[in-house]
Amino acid sequence: MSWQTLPMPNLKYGITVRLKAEEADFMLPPKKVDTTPFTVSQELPTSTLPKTTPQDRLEAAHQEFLGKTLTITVPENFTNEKPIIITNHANGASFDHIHIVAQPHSKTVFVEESGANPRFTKVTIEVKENADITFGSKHQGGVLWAKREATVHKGGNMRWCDVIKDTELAYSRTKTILQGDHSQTSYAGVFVGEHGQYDIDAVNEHVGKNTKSDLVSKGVLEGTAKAINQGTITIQENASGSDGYQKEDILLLSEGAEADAIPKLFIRNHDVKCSHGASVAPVNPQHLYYLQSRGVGERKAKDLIIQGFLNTALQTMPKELQ
Amino acid sequence: MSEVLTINRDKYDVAAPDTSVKLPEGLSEDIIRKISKDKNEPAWMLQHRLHCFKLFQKFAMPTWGPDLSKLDLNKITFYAKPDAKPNSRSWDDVPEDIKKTFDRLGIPEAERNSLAGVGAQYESQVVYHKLKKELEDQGVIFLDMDVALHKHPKLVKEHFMKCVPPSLHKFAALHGAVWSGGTFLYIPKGVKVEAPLQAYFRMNAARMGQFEHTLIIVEEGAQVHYLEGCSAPVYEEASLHAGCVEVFVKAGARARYSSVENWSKNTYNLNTKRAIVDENAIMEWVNGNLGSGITMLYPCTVLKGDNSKCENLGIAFANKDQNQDTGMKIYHLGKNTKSTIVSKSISKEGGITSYRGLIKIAPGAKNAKANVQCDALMADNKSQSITLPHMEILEPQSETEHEATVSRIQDDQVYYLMSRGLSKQHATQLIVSGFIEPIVKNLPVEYAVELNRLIEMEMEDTLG
Repeated sequence: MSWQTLPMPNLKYGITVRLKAEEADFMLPPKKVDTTPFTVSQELPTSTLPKTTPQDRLEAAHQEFLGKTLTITVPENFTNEKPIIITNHANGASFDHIHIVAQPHSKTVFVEESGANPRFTKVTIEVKENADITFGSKHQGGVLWAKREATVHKGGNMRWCDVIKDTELAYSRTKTILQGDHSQTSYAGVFVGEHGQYDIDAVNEHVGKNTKSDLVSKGVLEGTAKAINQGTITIQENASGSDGYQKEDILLLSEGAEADAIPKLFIRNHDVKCSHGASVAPVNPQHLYYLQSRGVGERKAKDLIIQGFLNTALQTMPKELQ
Repeated sequence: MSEVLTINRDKYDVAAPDTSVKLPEGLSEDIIRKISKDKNEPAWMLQHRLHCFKLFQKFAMPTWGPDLSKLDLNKITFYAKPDAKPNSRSWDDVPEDIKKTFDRLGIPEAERNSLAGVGAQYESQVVYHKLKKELEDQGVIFLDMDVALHKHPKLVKEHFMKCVPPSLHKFAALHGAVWSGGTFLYIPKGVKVEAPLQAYFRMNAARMGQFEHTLIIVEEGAQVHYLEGCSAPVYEEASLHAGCVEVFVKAGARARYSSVENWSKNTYNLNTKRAIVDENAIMEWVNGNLGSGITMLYPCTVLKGDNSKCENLGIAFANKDQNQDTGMKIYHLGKNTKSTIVSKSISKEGGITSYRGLIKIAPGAKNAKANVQCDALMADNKSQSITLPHMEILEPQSETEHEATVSRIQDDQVYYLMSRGLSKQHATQLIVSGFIEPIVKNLPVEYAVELNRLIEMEMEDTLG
């Protein structure tokens, strides 16, 4: 079956929002896929790449043109002091898949660096009993398609840090399944841009008992940037004692910037603590006025407010991403 | 469970003998022509009905939300006329069995309790309509929709389905094709109606459809509070309610629409409500959804004029086999428009409550402010609570906030109250009453008492 037979994902502004038609054509199918392998700052054993079934045309394209993979096993009880840096040396188009298995009681921070464009990346992570994994990524410019999924077993902890800046098209999907009892996850996302489309979705699914999820997403849109920010907490039937939290905030800084905020809750167990909040607003004029009355120029004051707004999410991330 | 159902709804579930005149089941152009002919309608209305029927046939069933696959539209009676003189002005003219049903529902009592006017709809026709004389003298019109079509053709034609166009969705089109009865309410410029006006709708026959049309026009600077109650007895077969409420709130006017819908649990409640609000005007919705097997109801407000406002309060209660899919839709078009939504839901015994809302801030709606607060209470492990808000912000100079919480009935609160001598059941009911209090306190006292009592009854078997 050809990858082109699957339907396109539902992109509100279409795939060509900022791309000229020929650029979009270039993307799918790509003229040339750069297969220069990843390098990892610290050598680790390999794991086996899982099979996945594509859900839509972009995911099928990812599978069709998959040019390189990185498979890592973090050994039992392994802990590292410094973050492990995964570098993607691709210059042009990169269609890649990173798979990490974190063995019990390991604790690792991964930070991914990439200048590839367009970048089609998939990340799959398995967090075994009491393992603790942080996966951070930062993307600047170009086109990003990212699909990331983690399964967390008993007592495990999965932390996602997702920073996206000035892309033309960013399509980011992150899903965490809290399978084991007492497992937890957090997602901190930041997207900042002056144009282009930011389609961000993070899903936390509670399956095990006494599981905990935390989701904070901050967007700053200038110029003509558009965002669709979705987030989901699902509490399954047996996930008693669960605690889910979700917050999506978007700052709109200019005419032409637009945002859709869609936070969702699906609760199938009553023994839960679950809440979410979302806001879309311009910079608070009172905050601006206060800073200006203290002698701070308007641009500088705005920057300070934006920095403060983003810091709630950024300060929880490894310093490489801040 | 059946025991609970009897406790809950004894007052509503008793069907009076069915003596009404009915058209055959299912829908065809012929039936639509017959409805229109029976009502002796002007030609434009028949054309409107036929146009709506075409749209209805063209539209697909909704593919989202609750499952409607068991709703067989060919088994529904779309029009029935009870054996009574339409629009009796005196309670004595109403036939005995119909009177008994309404007595059970407490309608004349409500009127005695100084509601300004009462209309009651039984099946497709309005049987009783009365308006206090002083209001009539001020030019207030409170009529059965069918009568209004004849008595005030210009006003009706100007507004009828202009707020809820039949092209909105399949069931709005269906409503346009088969609507019957309902309320026409016109408040002239500057007239402030202090006491609430009330209507009660009831489906009595099995497999009935009720398609009442409520059209409310509140002229500049006028003010009104309109209340609706709805019910149906329990039958084996499913019934359908696809009513339509249109509210025009003109400049500087204020309208409040409150309804407590307690249809029987095999009713599909696929209702459409919408208000258009002009400059400096205020629209308030208070909605209680308790009955129905499946409810899909999303009252919508279009804040068209600058400085217009709307307030929305909603309670949904889903018990066993119930799916309450509700939510509010607000379109901010004018500048300095403001909306607030407070939604409370309770689910138990496997019931599902969903909040499915939309806030859209259109380009140019500068300084628009929207605030949404959804709270859900879950009584047990089998139930579900879903929150699906959508905020679409196309004007950067605006503020939108949404917050939602989901929680259980807290054991420590129950134990605290029990330690003060309350039974577990009473303690639970007290907590639920506290949970819905912000909404109930906005209803007139009779409705607040009724809503509280209904919820108490629904909660009766909740013992942890």
